[in-house]
Parts: sequence; structure tokens; C-alpha cells
Amino acid sequence: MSRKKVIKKRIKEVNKWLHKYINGWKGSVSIFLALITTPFLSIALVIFESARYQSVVEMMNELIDSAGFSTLAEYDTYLEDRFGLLATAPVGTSGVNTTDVNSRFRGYLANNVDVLGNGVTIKNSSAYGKYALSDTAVLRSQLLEYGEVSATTELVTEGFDIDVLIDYLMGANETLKNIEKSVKTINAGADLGKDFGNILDSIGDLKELGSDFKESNKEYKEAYAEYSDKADECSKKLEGANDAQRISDALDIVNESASIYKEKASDCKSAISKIKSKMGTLRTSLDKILEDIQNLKDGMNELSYDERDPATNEPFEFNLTNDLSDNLLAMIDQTSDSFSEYEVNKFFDKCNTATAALGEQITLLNGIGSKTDTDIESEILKPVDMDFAGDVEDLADMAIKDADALSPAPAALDSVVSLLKSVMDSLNETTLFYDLRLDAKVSSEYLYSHGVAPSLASVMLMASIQSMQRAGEDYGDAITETNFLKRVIQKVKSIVDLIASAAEFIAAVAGALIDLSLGLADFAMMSSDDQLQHFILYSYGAYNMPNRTTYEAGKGLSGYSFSKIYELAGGKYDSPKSIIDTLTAVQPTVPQSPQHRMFRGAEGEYLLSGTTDEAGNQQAVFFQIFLLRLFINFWCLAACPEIPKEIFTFILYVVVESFLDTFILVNGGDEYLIKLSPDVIYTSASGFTTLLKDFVNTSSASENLKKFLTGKRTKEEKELKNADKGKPPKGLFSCSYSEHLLLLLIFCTPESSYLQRMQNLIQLEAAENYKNTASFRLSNTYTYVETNVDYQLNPLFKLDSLTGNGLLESVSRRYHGY
Amino acid sequence: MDTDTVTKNEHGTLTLEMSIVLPIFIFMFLFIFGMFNIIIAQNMITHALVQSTMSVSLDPFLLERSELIGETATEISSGLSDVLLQFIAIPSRDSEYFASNSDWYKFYPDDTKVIKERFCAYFAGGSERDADTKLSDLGIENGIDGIDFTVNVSNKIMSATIEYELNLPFNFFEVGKIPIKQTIKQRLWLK
Repeated sequence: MSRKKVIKKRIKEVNKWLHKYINGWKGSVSIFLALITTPFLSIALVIFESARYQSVVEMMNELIDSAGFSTLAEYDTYLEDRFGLLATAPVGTSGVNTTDVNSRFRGYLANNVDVLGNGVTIKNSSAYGKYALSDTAVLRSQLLEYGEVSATTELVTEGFDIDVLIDYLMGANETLKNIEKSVKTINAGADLGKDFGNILDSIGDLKELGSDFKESNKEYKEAYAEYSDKADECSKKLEGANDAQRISDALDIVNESASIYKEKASDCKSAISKIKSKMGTLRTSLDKILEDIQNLKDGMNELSYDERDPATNEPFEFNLTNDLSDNLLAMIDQTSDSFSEYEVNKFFDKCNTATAALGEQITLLNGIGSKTDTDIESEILKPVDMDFAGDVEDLADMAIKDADALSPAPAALDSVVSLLKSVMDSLNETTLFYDLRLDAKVSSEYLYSHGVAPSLASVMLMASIQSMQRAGEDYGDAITETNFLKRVIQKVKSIVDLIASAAEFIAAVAGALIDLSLGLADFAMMSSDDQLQHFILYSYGAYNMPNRTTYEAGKGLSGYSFSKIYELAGGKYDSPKSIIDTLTAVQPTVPQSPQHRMFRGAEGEYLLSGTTDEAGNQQAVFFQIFLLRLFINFWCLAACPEIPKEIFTFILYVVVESFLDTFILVNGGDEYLIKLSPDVIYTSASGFTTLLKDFVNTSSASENLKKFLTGKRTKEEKELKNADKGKPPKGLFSCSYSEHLLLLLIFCTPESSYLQRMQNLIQLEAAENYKNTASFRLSNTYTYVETNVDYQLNPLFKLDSLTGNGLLESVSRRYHGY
Repeated sequence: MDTDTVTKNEHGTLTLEMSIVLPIFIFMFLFIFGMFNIIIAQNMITHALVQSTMSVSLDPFLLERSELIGETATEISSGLSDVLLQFIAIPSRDSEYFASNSDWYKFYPDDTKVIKERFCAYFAGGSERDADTKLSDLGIENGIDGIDFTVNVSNKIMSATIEYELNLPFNFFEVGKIPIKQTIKQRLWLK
């Protein structure tokens, strides 16, 4: 059989079977397609459903983001307006913000989830605030972000070139390091002075002891006379006395006087002992002073060739050493001669002889009660010769007899003393130190984090100036003292104290310089990016926080008027503002004692000094700026040929110049940070006109005076401007109070302290702003929102009877931040 | 009747069956393909709507900040002010479609111009024309013109609604138009 026939036969058999059992070929295509397409269709539907699920998940994430974004949109408008910071709004007690972050989010999510139809069923949703502004890192980040444009714009406006400033200050810093050597020398002089002061004290004590000794010697002699009389009387009574009673009575008479005589002898012995001890101390002090003199000489030698004027490269001609040699050294020589070893030893020999004789006499007198009548005559002990008692006083007088003549102050000392006194008196006038309107005393309970202690250098400098003031006052008192010894000692001691406090002052300036140097060095070591960040960060505080010069009319970086803060804090404009206003004010209307809830306007000052006493902060910043000006002026004036370099006069000029600068700054004027020309150095001969002009530009000057002088000034200025074309600048960086504050913040305030203080300011202001509507707490000002949504993915064709609640669930955790 | 006769009588049944069953299967596949298309279109449009409402909601904040900094900057120079405004107002993209200097929400709270432009920006990354082409390709009836935008601002909450008809890719007998309406509510960054 052929192959073809076999196939046909097989087909017939299949047909027969099909027709017999399954009705032929009908429906076979359907079955075939069903078998073939079902798997493909199933796979396609699974892919479709999974794609739909994926799409729903993605859309759900977008809706969650949208709801999170809406939640963030309910930001704290006060924080944004005032500080440029973004954080979630506080939960209010009235108005629209009555819900917390969780409720807000859930509401927004429910609004939008319908866009997915039946695609999802939300089972649970929640939102939590995270990363509050109470975290300094978060606050720092926001401050930088906000200040990036606003603070930089302000700095550009002010023409601050930080590179030039740093270069200059670092250069000045290097030069000023040499002054530390002067400080060492001055300190050696101060030690010498202090030791000499101790000697003078000892001499005074010695003289008093000498006087006491003389008195004791006199009383001793009188006691002997009494004793001698009583002995004679006793001898007469004993004549013919037989009974024991009469003998005993007669002996009692002499015993009593002998006891007094012995007591006086003991007093003399004790006085001699004290004198010997004091003279021994004096000898030791004199030895110590010789060592001090050697140290001073070494320092003088070092100064003589190491100190150079940075401008001229000539040696500094501080005449401190001459002052010392002319006065103290001469006195020390004289005292040293008076207490020479020979004289003291000779005196000690006399003392020793008298002490031995007195000791022997006291022993004999102790036993006089046991003597019999026959011994009395022979036991009348004659007094020990102590004629040298008067020598002690003479010796003390000799030691300081020429001191009164030598002690007159160096030429400038009187003026230094009187000026220091008047400067300190002025500083002590609180009306100058701070604006009376800004005197809040903030209770620490309202703060978020607590402040940091003031800088040590500031405290030291303040203490040294106060010491100078005290010494000046002592000197004034000494001049009017009538008692010669007291006058001389007090006068010399006040001079010594003045020298010592001047040394302390310069040492404190040096300490402040070191602080400033460290700040500068730290800043200079930073990368340019970090420097910029630092500058932006601190500029934010300097320009966005009110200070005593800006709280009335100034605005923050966000355009927020500072006067609103003053009003928010309950400040009143009819209260006295400055020293001139105060002159006509009867009483400040601002209460002094209550515990306030926020500062009134000296917030910039708080950033720098960190105490809760607003007036104290102003005082501290006044001093800090004074210190900064001292730091800069020390160098500027040293380079000025019109300023004398005699030490007291020089200090006087620096103090006065800095004081005038600070006075003008705190009253709203501007100062060159670095003064290059004598024209702008007020204490120079050429600078007085400038002082007058700057003074009338301050807010303290009366308007009429200002108008009168300003018109004249404008004309003069125009002329000067034309004349000055092409000439070197008079100074670098014309800076206001705020810019001085900025520099101090940068160089003297650690970033952590700065940020903590900033947190306090935000907390205080915002809490006060919301006090009637919401409870504000910095720890609730969230910059991020974490959302958690648990939802179920529903199938495309949701038939509850068949599909139940769906098989797939998803949890979405999302983060949304400003 | 022998087998051959029976077979001859059934000639064409396979063809007939095929002609009936096969289109059903093909329609089924096309339906699934159409559903894919609907999902894709809806997904893209919803995404664009959500993103555009989020973007528009931020306009008031950006506008206020740029005005503020503009004020400060103007004190320095008008040129710098313009630079800052440009820098602030249009932060991330190179097109003006993604930001607006208009404060429509204050004076014309039902004006759909801004939301429509922003929708086009987020949908097609640019102009209305690009969006129209892309929407038409996705089967939106009449492209961008077929989408009806409605905006309402109430109590600082913006409600943006779009209504459109979606054509199936194989729209036989004009029965495949699916009407869709989507609404997104977004809180404006308004003080």
C-alpha cells in the first residue's frame, strides 16, 4: 500500500471517530483558540492589572505628596514674615489653624483620593512633624538659605569686602603681637610697684609698732617708778614688824606694783619682737624687689630694640620705663639705703640685748612674792635701757621722707586720672550706656535654650578700667590727706595701683586681642565657602534683628518693621530714649522690675552678649564695641604722627578716641572701621572738626542744631569732596553700629551660642505674637512632615462577593519638607 | 450516510466558526490594549494635574518673596533686581510656563489661564501645542481644547477640575468615548 493511501485511511478513521463521539469538526476552532489564547490572555490581564496597580501606587504617592504639600502650605506666617523661616503653623486656639499636622494632612488627602475612583481604599493615614527649628542644624540651614540672597544683598549694599577686611585685620594683628612684649615689661613694672607698695605698707606698720614700743617703754618706766616707791614703803613698814600678818601685808604692797612692772616689761619685750618680725619682712620684700628690678631692666632692654612703629618702622617711644625709673626706682633706692643690712643688724643687736635683759628681769619679778623682808632692798630691779625705742619711728620716717617729693605724677598722670574718672563716671551713667526704652528683663522661663557666659577678656578689661578709676580716686583722696604718713603712703600706693591697673588694662586689651586673633585666625583658616556661609549666617542676625540704633525706624531683611517688635513688647514711644531725652524726662515710664516675655528692641545686643537683661546687654555691647574700637584704634593711633606716644597719654588718647567712636556709633552714626588719616582721628589736632560733624549726625543731637550744622556741612563736604579727589582714603569701611555688631558676632560669638540665642529670640517673639491665639513652642515648628498611609489596592472589577477586599495592600511613607 | 458524505456536508463550518470566534478574540485583545491606553492616559493626565496644582499653589509665595527681594534689590540697581526676580521667580526650569508673576488668585480666582498653562507645562514640558499633540495621540477628544478646566479658590484652597473624553484606540461605531472628570484640591501658599 502506498503511503498516500495509508494517510487517507487514517483521516477516515479520525473522521469516523469524531462523528461517532463529538459531532465532527464543529467548534474545534473555538476550542483551539480557547486553549491557545487563554494563557496569553491571562498573562496579559495579569500584566495589565499589575501595571494598573503600579499606576495606582504611583498616583497614590503623588496624592500623598500633594496632601503633604498642602499641609506644608499652612506655614507659620509670622515666622515667615518676621524671620524668613518656614515651619508649620502652630495649633491655634481660634481661627483656621485649629488642627494639628496630622489632622491637616488627613483632611487634604481625603479631598483628593477620589481622583483614583475605586482604585484604592485608605485603611489608615497619619502625619508627624519632624525636624523642628529647635534643632540648631535645621535652623542654621534655614538661616543660610534665607540669608543667601537677602543678607548677601545687604552686604553688597554696605560695600563690605570681607577679603580686604580680613587681610587688613590679620596684618594689624601680626603687628600688634609685638605689643605683648610691652605688656610683659609693664607687668614687670607692675610687680615692682606692687612689691614696693607692700614695703610701704610694712614701713607704715613699722612706724606704728615703733610708736607702740615707745609708749610701752614709757609705761614701763612709769611702772618702775611706782614699783620703786612701793618697795620703799614696804621697807618702812617692815621695820620693827614681828608678826607674820604685818610682814605679809607689807609684802603685798610691793608684789602688786612688781606685777604691773613685770607686765609692762612683757609689753616691751613683745613690741620689740613685733618690730623685729616686721623688719625681717621688710628685708625679704627688699630682696624680692631687687629681683623685680632685674626683670624690669631685662624687659626695658627688650623693648628698646624690639618695638617698632608699623607705620614708620621706628621704635615705639613709650616712656613708661622712664616714669618708673624716675619715681619708683628712686624711692626703692632710698628705702633700701635706709634699711641697709648694716643699719638693720645694728638695730637688731640692740633689740636682742634689751630682750635678754627684759627676760631676766621678768623671771626675777616672777619670784618676788617669795622673798623675805631682808631681800626687798636688794631686789628692786632697775629698768632695762631701751632708749633706741624712738629710733624705729625715725627709721620709718627716714625711709619715706623724700617720697612725698618724689611722688608727684608724671606730666600726663593727673589728666589721665581725672579723665578716666570722668569717662568712667559717664559710663556709669546708665542713660548713656543704654537706651532707657529698651530695658526688658526677660524671664528665663520664656526662653527656649539658655545663654552663654560673657567673654573673659571683656570682664578683664572692664575690671582693669574700674581699677584705674579706683586708683585715680584714691590718688585724689591721698592729695587731700592731712596726715603726712598716710598721705605719702596712699599717694604712692595709688600711683602704683594706677600703673598696675594700666598694666592690667593693656594685658586685658592683649587678651581681647588674642580672642579676636583666634576668631580672626579661625575665620581666615576657613575655606572661602565656609567664610561666606559664616558671614551670611551672622549677617542675618546683625541685619534681621533690631538693635538700639535701628529699633525705631529700621527694617529686617524680610522688610519687617522693627517698630512692630517694640510695640509688640509693650514699648511706649513717650518714654525717654537717650541721654539728651533723659535730661528732660522726669521718670522712665517703662517698668524696671517685671519679668518680661520678650526683648523690646535690643535683640542684636542679646545675640552678642547673651544675658536676659536687655539693658545689661546694651551695656555689654557698648563695652564690646568700645573694646573693638580700642583694638583697632590702638594700632591706628600708634601709626598717627599727631598722637603722643608717652604711655599714659597714649592710653588716654586711645580710650578717649574709642569712647567717642562708640558714643557716635550707639547714637546711630557711622565710623571708619580703620582710620587712616589724622582728619578722622578725633583726638588728633586735625580731627576735632570731624568730631563735631559726626556728633551732629547722631540721633542725640537736636534737630535744629543738626539742620544748622548739616547745611553748612553739606557745603563743606562738597568742597572737601572735590578737594579730596585723587587723594588716599581717610579710612576703610565706613561702618554703622550694626556692622560693628556683625564683626563682633563673627569673631567673638561661637556658632552654637549664636544659634541658641537666635532660637530664644524666635521663641520669645513668636510666643508673644501668638499669646492670644495659639500656643507657640519652637519644638513644634516642624520643617518636615512624615506621612504614613496604609491603603488597599482594589481590583479592576471590584465585585465584593467575589473579590472580597482585594489581595494587595501597600504602605507609603513619604517625607515633605520646606 | 458514509463518512465522506458527512464531511462534504460540513464543508465551510470551520471558516464560519473562525469568522465568528476570531473577531471576538481580537476585540478582546483590543479591549485590553484599550484599557492599557486608558490607564496610561489617565495616569499622565492625573500626574500633570497634581503637579500643576502643586506648582500653582506655590505661586503666591514665590511672588511675595520675589517682590520683597525685588524691593531690596531695587535699592541697589534695577539690573540686579531683574536678575534676582528671575532667579527667585523661576527657580528650576528654563521656561516661563512653570512659574507665574500673576496674582490671579486674588483678583480672578476662577481664571483658568494659569492652571491650563501650568498643566501644559507639566504634561508636555512646554507649549500648549505640544500638549495638544500629545493629548490627541493619547486619544483625548479634541486634544487640549477638549479638556474643560475649572478653577475655584475658596478659603485659600484651590480646587482644579478637568473634564474630558477619552477615545479608545479602536473606536468602532463611536461608542468608545469615556467621559472623565478629575478634581484636585490644593492649599495655596498664601498668607
